[in-house]
Amino acid sequence: QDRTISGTIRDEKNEAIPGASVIVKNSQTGLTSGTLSDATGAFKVSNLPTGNAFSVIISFIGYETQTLPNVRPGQAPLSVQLKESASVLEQVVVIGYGSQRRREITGAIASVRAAELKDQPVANLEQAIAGKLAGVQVLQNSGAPGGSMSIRIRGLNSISAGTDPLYVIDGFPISNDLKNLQGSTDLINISGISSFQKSPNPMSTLNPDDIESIEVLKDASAASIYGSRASNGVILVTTKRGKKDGKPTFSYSSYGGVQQASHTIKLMDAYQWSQLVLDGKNNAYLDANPRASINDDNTVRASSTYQIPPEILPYLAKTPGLTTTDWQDAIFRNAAIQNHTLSASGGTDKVQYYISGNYFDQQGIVIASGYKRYGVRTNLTASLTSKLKVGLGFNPTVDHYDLVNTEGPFIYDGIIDNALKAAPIFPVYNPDGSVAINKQNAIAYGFSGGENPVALATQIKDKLNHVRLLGNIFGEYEIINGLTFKTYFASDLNYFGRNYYRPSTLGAYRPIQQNAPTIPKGSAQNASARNWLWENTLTYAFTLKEAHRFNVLLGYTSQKNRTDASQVDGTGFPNDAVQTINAATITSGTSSASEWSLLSYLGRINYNFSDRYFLSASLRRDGSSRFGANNKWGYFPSVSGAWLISGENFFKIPAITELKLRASYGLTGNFQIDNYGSLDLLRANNYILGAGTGTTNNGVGLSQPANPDLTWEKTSQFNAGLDLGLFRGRIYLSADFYKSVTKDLLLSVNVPLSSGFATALRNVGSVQNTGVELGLTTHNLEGAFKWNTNFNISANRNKVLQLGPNGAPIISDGGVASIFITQIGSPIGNYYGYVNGGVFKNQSEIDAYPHYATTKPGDRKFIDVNGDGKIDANDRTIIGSYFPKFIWGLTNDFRYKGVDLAVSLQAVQGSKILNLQRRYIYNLEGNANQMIEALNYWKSPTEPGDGNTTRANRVTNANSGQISSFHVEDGSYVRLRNVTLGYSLNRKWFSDKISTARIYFTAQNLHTWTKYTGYNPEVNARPESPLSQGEDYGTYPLSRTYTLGLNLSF
Amino acid sequence: CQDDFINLASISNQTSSTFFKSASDFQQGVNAIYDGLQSPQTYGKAYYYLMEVRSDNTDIGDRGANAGIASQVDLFTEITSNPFVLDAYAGSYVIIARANAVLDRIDGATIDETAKKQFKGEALFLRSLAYFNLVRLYGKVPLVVRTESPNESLNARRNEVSEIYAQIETDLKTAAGLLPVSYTAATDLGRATSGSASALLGKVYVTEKKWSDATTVLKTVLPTYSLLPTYADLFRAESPITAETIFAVRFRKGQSPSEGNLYFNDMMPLIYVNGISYSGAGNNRPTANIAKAYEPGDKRFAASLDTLYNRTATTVVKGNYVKKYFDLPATTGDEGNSFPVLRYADVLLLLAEALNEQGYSAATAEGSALGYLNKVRSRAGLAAKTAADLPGQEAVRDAIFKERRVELAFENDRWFDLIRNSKALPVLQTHLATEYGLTTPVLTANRLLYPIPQREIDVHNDLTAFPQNPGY
Repeated sequence: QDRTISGTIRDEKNEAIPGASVIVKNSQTGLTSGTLSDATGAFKVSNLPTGNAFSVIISFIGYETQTLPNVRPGQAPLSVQLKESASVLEQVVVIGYGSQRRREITGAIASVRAAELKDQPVANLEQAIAGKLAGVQVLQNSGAPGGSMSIRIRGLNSISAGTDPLYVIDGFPISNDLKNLQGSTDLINISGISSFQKSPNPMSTLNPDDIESIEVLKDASAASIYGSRASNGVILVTTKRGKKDGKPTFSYSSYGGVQQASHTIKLMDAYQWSQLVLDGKNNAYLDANPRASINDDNTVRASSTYQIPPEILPYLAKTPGLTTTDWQDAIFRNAAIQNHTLSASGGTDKVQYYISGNYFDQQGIVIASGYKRYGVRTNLTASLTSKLKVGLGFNPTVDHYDLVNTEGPFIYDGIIDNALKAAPIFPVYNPDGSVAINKQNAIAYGFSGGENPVALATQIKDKLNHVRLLGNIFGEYEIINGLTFKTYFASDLNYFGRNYYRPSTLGAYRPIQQNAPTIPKGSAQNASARNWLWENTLTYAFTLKEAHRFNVLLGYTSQKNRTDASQVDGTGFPNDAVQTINAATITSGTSSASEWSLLSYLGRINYNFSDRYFLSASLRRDGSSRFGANNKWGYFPSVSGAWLISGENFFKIPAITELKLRASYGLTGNFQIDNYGSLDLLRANNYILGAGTGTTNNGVGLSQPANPDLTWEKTSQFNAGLDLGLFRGRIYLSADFYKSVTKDLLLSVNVPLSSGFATALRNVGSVQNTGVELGLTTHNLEGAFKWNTNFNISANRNKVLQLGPNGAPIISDGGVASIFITQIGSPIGNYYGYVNGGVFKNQSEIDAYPHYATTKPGDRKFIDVNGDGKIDANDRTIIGSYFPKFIWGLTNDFRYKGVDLAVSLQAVQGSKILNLQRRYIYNLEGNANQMIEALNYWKSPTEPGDGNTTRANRVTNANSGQISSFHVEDGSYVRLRNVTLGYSLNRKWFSDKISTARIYFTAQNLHTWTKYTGYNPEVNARPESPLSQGEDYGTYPLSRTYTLGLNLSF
Repeated sequence: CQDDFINLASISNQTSSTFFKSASDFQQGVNAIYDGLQSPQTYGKAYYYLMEVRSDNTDIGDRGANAGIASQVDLFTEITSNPFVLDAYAGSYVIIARANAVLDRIDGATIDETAKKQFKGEALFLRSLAYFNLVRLYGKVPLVVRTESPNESLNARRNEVSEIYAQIETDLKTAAGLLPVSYTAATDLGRATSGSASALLGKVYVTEKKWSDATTVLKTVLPTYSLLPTYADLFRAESPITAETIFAVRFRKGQSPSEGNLYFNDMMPLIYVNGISYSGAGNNRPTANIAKAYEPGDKRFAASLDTLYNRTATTVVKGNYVKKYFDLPATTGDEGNSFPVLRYADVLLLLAEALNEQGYSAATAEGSALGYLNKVRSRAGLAAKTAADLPGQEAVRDAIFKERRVELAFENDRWFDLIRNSKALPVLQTHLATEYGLTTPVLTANRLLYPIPQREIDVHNDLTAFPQNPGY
């Protein structure tokens, strides 16, 4: 007698489903046995007792579980058709080294799918997810094309190690080292100049159109499988793959549009500014020469500091019709943007493919800047036999940047800073149409001193090429049912080449301030990065007694990264005709190389009991080259569990379709420090000796003190979450609470200078992040008119628990020395300075309050914070923090017939910005143009202005310009991030030859509601440096973009 | 194999634990100490702000520049976070730490004894020079004589001034015994010699007013060095080491990586030279007062400063600038003048001072106070002083004080000479009043010492164990 139950499992399209779980349960005895379906979807359970009835339970990820009652052995083979699950619970979510149904997820994971990403004219994935995920803050530090982005997941866990999350593209963890390889525009051979240009974003090589899903592993249990790199969270990017549906699908998506500066700063015109210059010169003159008169002429005034520039005299005489240049208008433009992606995807049972090509071209809104990307992606999977599967992912890209040094101070050719400061009395162009140079360099009277920013932007050539080959291959073999061995090799090869040339036709400020012609300078920089990963994993999925399902993962991985960088600088070019270094007469060069390696063992058990109780435990052991000899290895365990209450029989609240509780605890690490941070490195300290001019003698001195104990930052995080679905998923709410403590902070602490070092890298201190996150999705209206809302809000509180051996606060430098403080009990990286008390209106106010010895009416009043009757360094205090109180995002989708409309808002509330631009454009010195607000300056006791603006003074008196709360501004904003209006053409019009045809119009960054007076309240001058975060020292404004797009698939 | 995979040696830098072995290694370690003298934190920049701009010799061109930090030093309003105050402190300790790195290991090194003595002597001399500058600028500072880890240095305390001087004296005596009188190889020219150590020791004694010790040790320096006939030849970038040079900080332009300085950039005004318009910050600018301090006919004037310069090819404008460091920048923007630290004329004047302080003598012969003074004056083309001109100890003291000002102008001596002669308060108060019209007393006695950098106070975070200087 046949004691077998058999059958075939197919999906709704009649495709076989291999690997589905089949549980056969004896209705009388309750005993179970199970199996999985094979490559053809067939299954067979043999040797069953006859005469008994069985229930057959069939389940597979992404499909609804089916139970067939009363099946008897020997009956005709079953034909089971599984329905793709609509339920959120059954959606497949990518996790580290695998995937799970959302039902089984025990940690805090947020995901975004392709459908939610499309239609945004964004260059990279970070911009696409901004505002979409609770607890994920996306900061666009610069509006430059291809420019710097940073993501913060659940606050800030680190003080000086990197704060970037780990990016894992199709299973390959990408190295953070790429950020440092793009070269810089430092002028050559000038010591002590740091580059203000923020690194372009290496993730921008990834075409957003290729992305299938983005998962953010937020809590430690989800992330700890990535061990020593996971404490800033992990972002898993999965690219599109072909489906087994046989029919090829071609898609073409394209958009084109125009961008413009979303905000400009209102400055004085030439007449207003000239008056300010005059007042400033006079006040400075009288301060220095109390017995002098403002009617003294320039010969009496003697010093250029006090002399009145003759250029302003016509303006003072109110001669109408004189030049009054809007320099911002001169450097900003309406810039074009376009993107095209053509893809083909499809497959058979055996082979699936996705192939795409991409061209993206974005002009910058600052003249002469731009970014282009050319990319190709191929994802192939082939089942060679029923047991053996191989795959390939291949993604070559070429990125080209036209860089313009927009971000730095004017003294380093910073274009935007220059445009803000430039004297409005000078023209952009000469009457003959040529660019007017050597005007700002009217050094004699102490104007800003920078060259014409239009000339700088257009005549300096700074080109960066990034060629990248990101690829992986894998083989997967099913040893026995459910037990799979996978070997995976991936590599990321990067080449960066950058050429810089500063022609003789520009005046210079560094190394010496001089008019054109200057000595031309050039540099050629090259860097390469090779990163490879070899990963071997064994997964075993099995079921015991029907209800106990296990998924066990074991793995061994090794990864190594090497970077090489070289630079050749040249000067003494005979002319500007040949701009490569071969034409230079004086050249110098340097090269360096650096490596890191990581060796890891990992294991994880996922346990599912009755689809209601879930447990997961994982452990990773990482060994890293970056850490001290005494601390090379570390363990990163985690455990988590979830209870799907709504799956219980006793749970009978019809309104609640899903109720799930989650809790997790885990340990993760942060290894983002320099490659040789633990070693007592030496570096060249050469000296001149010998007769005559002498020769350079090699010298070698210590550049960093050794620390053999250097180890990971360790973050332990507890997470508790709740998922709630109401009214058949019409309302879906996900809430999380977390508390994490990071210990052994990798910190370059200030150490006593008497050690010979200013800072040393050590593991000291700890910091805590506590937060709540709420995500809410509602389907407000169903039917012909559809309305969906997606809302998320999160709040994080950051607190330093412990610092250094003696708990001393860390005072760090920004654009000005010692203006940030990190201290116990407060968040990381607060602004530190004096408290602004407005302006002393008259002498009696000065007499009545502590002040500096030289203070005069119209100078700034600082609050005597400690009440000791004098103003000194002890009156410095915390004057703000970059951390927002909360952030939120809100997207509404509307759909009616072919028309769709989406409106996305994104907001940050309660953050503060240290606007150092005010040091120049609100300093009343009259050497630079000023914000229009500065017009309300103090003129006399009877004309005291707005009470907060000091007197005009070419030589700021009584420390009036020192960093105080005057420079701190509210950075809260609400941004209308995206508005998209689309129309899908009826496919019948194309006789079904075209499956999708949609045109849409999008406005990105349409409006920002903020009180911030700078360009962009997202600004952060040093995204890599948490201790000095949130400073605005000139930034590239965000662009407002209008695009028209087309999606076609056939 | 596992551990091999994650034990990666640094590719582009050596490590100190594996470095110091051969004589050449130690030589490079010693060269790095000298390199510390080139830093903008020390002789490259910060020192002349704290030692010259501070005094009545020089001022700055643009008071508003860099948020007025240079102006603070000039006008005695420096706040404790002033970058020059920080830099000089930090840069001095970098020199000390590099010296300690060599001194920690040199005694145990298996290298040639002659080389060993020389390296040790150089390290001791350079460390002493750094301490001498520190103790004069800041008073009590931590005395670090071996490598301290950053952790250990948190326990550092401010040692007594007397302890620091005692260490300097011991070290310089040792160094003078270890160092050669001169170097045979021309390539070693510019290294510290036993004369460098003795001359510095003499200067230290004079600062401590140990007049008799000063006399003895300074006299030992005399035979090795001599005055150059032409004062201006002392400051040529192409030949910085002369018969008169006892020790100088060397620079050279046009090297890569740069071995030049920014003196030209920092000190010159907008100036037109050889068809090119250069503009510096116009700092360390000679005051009207020092321009008047030169006696008529003093040949040193033209070599030291100028009061007129070309703004364009055709316009000449009034304005003072230092000429001792006038070397046109190389194409890369660096400049090559070396900075004199100790020279024979200084030793002669120190000797004259030490002798005079021990008792007035009317003698003008070689070996007398007036004799030494006149030697310096005659090279400058000035008439010798006689007992008739200088009838008493007080008069000689004043004459030497005046002579030092012009002979050693812009060489970082003036501020310390003012303090040693107890003239800083009256002279500078007058200077502030006449040059800047600052009438109320702005200079208080506590400002004779600079504040300890605020950052250092903040790091120690213990005002009892590591206090600020009084009055700040």
